[in-house]
Amino acid sequence: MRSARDTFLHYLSDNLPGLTINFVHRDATNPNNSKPQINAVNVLFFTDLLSPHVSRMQSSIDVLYNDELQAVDAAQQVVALLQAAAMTPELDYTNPASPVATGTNIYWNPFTITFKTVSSDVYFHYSCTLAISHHNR
Amino acid sequence: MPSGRVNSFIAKVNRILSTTNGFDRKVYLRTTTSTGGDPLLGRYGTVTINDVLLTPQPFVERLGRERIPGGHTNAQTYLVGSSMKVGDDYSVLVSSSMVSLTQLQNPQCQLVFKDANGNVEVLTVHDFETVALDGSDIAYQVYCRSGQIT
Repeated sequence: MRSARDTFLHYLSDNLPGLTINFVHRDATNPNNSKPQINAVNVLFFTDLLSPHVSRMQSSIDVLYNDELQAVDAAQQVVALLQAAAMTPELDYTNPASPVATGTNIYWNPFTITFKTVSSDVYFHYSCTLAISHHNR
Repeated sequence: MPSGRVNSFIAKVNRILSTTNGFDRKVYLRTTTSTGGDPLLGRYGTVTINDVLLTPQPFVERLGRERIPGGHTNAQTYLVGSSMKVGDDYSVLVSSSMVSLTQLQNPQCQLVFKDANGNVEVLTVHDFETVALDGSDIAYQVYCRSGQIT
């Protein structure tokens, strides 16, 4: 599960250099990491469907910007990346400086990427749910 | 630059806070820094925690069941080892000389309660109200929520 999450986060971060990717999660070291970040692409993992064959984790990609049009542009970049390829090699980031290939991929359906507006008075919020398949170990 | 009147008020707030402290634990301001690792993944290298005792100690009030309209409460009860702990919302009154606005807004800063037995409760700031005079902050009413109890 951890490798799949790390791989997806780095896939976004490494291939979208103009955007800030923020991993929203409960963090004992930095408790404020559970808060979403504005002017960033926030990623949250919320369901793991585990199987000895193909597992699936549900992720939420939340684009939060002060300006709606900047959010749309950022979402466009995310979509373009996710539709350019349907998979990426899964890496083990136990040693973040030297990720190791696990021999499998993580993959998703590039044809069903839907962003919906979530109402907020403070920022423009564009949200997408993406199922990511992987071979759990 | 705060006016003389502002500094006088801040000193008054500090004097009052130093005489009203009835909280059963000491309050610290924690700053967490990390180097190395991969913060994007939540994999940290070297983590340094620096807890500074607030002086004077702030006025702390647990919001609990009675304070929130409708009797609603955010308290959560769970076990830590063999002890039952209660995580809840707190209101903490600090002067601007004890905690700065920059610190309140710093995601790496949290308030920490420590008791005489070494138990630690880490709180995250969720809201704060400012008391200002002559354009300068005198005090902050900080609303924070229990995030971690050990």
